[in-house]
Amino acid sequence: MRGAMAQGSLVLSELPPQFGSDSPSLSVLTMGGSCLAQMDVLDDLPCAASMLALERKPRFFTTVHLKNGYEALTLTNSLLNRPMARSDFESLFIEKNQLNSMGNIKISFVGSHFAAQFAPYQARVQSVVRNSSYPVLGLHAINEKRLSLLWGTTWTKRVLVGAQLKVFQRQFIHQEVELFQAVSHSGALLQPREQSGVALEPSLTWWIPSSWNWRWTLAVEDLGSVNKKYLELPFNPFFKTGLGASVPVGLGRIEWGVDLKMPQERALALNDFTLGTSYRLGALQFMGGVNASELSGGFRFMLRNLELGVSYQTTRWPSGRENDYQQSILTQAGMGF
Amino acid sequence: MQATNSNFLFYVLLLSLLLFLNSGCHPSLVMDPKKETLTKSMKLLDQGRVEESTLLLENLHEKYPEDDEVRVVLASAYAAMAGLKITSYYDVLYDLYYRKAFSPSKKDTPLSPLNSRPNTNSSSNSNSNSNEKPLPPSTSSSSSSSSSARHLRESFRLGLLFSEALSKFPTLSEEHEIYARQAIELLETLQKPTRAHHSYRALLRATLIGARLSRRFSNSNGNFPCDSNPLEMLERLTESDEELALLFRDLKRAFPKDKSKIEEHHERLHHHVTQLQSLIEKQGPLLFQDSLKALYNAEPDTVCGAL
Repeated sequence: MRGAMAQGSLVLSELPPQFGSDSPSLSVLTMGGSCLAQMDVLDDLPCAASMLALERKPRFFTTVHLKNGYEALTLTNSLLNRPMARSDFESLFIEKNQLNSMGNIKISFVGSHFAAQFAPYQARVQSVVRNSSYPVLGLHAINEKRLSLLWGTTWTKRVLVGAQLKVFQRQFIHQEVELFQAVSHSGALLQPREQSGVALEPSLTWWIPSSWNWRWTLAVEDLGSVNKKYLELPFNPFFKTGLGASVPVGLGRIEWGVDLKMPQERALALNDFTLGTSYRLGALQFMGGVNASELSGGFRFMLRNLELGVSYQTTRWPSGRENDYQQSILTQAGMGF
Repeated sequence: MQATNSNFLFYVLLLSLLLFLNSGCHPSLVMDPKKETLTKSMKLLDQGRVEESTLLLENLHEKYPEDDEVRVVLASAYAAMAGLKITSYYDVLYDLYYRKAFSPSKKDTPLSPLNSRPNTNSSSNSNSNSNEKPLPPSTSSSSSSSSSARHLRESFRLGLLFSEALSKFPTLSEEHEIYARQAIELLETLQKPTRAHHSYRALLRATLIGARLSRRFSNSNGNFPCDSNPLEMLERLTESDEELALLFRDLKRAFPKDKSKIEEHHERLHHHVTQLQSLIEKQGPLLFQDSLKALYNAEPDTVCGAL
């Protein structure tokens, strides 16, 4: 969820809008973040607990996902755990003045009525430096541990219900820093925040068993509480809704979905819409997705217990330069049973 | 049952529609016009459209003449007009303060060139003076000439280090100097300057001083400062005295914990420059230059000897 303070800040508003604590898997990211009504999310939990009722067979899997390598994530870990060293400062301001990296490790079990996931590491970092004559850094870095428990069942023939219990602990930085502040201040300049919380996220899916297998999902996210509230990272319940369908094509199946997020603290924006599609053909799954600032495409390959995936993503930054597009490579490896 | 299901779904859809409309009707956090203009002008600076950005900011400054944020961004636009890319040399200020130019040397003794000093062959000084070679004889007595030589070495070493540090700042043409000066003057008008602002002003001021010194000193055959005319260098350092005083004032405000140390460094620099001038007056310019040549020959590990 985008920080409220970013709206009023000079440089934080320049970060791509998809920041927050979510750290989706490769397939969800490649499908533009659209997954609420998708059935073929095979490398992560269903985005809505109510979709559990449509799971065909239980599976247990672990995944390791990286976007744009691990170097920036190493920097993130340093920034969150100790005062900024000169080498970090030079990395952020001078060498890499635009960062967009993500990584996560997840251990998951998905069954037809119950699912669980433990993510011991979910990190994301985005930064941008503006105004080379008086440089100002906007930095968003977050590291979260999360435990999720899902339950889902059919209520009627066409209505599926479910709920997810999410327990998390996270550290984050969401701050602007001037280069000259960093030069003239000693000691800790960045202020990592800590937050723990719990949320219950109910969902409901209306399913029409037909040739197109239409699904419409309505879910509530972040319905819970946190130990400390921060304006930079609001924790308010919000609605999400998604429409999806799947149809057999050739030897495989095409899925598509469109999601909409309805935040409380701001008006709806184009970035709240996401559209994603995938084509599953045996051990291969091809995916693509689009939203207002990202275009993605990639594939996953599953052979026996191993899974490998690669995606390519183009992100349009609210730019200081015209046509400021950043290219990202997403990679994921996993093992499943 | 079917009617119940249908009614339920109807209400769910109605609720979704209401929620959708409600989220759209929420007052959005729209960036205020001033911040929007500031963001736009920073984007223009990053795109290299410096003149457009400066014009936008000057108009904004007219609307918000007392706003510090506008002043700082406008000052940065003037710095961009002067061709200064801060990220390429910001660390010079850091190094200038924390490293060679201001590190006290073991040889950096208080200067009293007109007084006789104890004999440099005494055992207590034997280690520090083991590399000393005698300078050409002067009209003074031998003990005062070696004392003068030591003082000359120390003073000139400090001056050279300072000048060498300043030479790392980018050069500015006289036209660009005007913009740098405008940036500094604007930063002087800040109502609540932070330490970051004082640092920025110190960097700009040091750039101005360094650019002026290097532009006037450099000759076609050599490198500033070692191949410069040292007499001229001293003259220019003296001319920049007021500017240097303001530079040290800004440094004290940027690094308040080290205020006394900075004051000490300023006094030392000022003192050495003054004493060098006294030496020149005493020895005469030609003999002074001969002494310097001998110094370079005798002490190849000086800053210039190592270059």
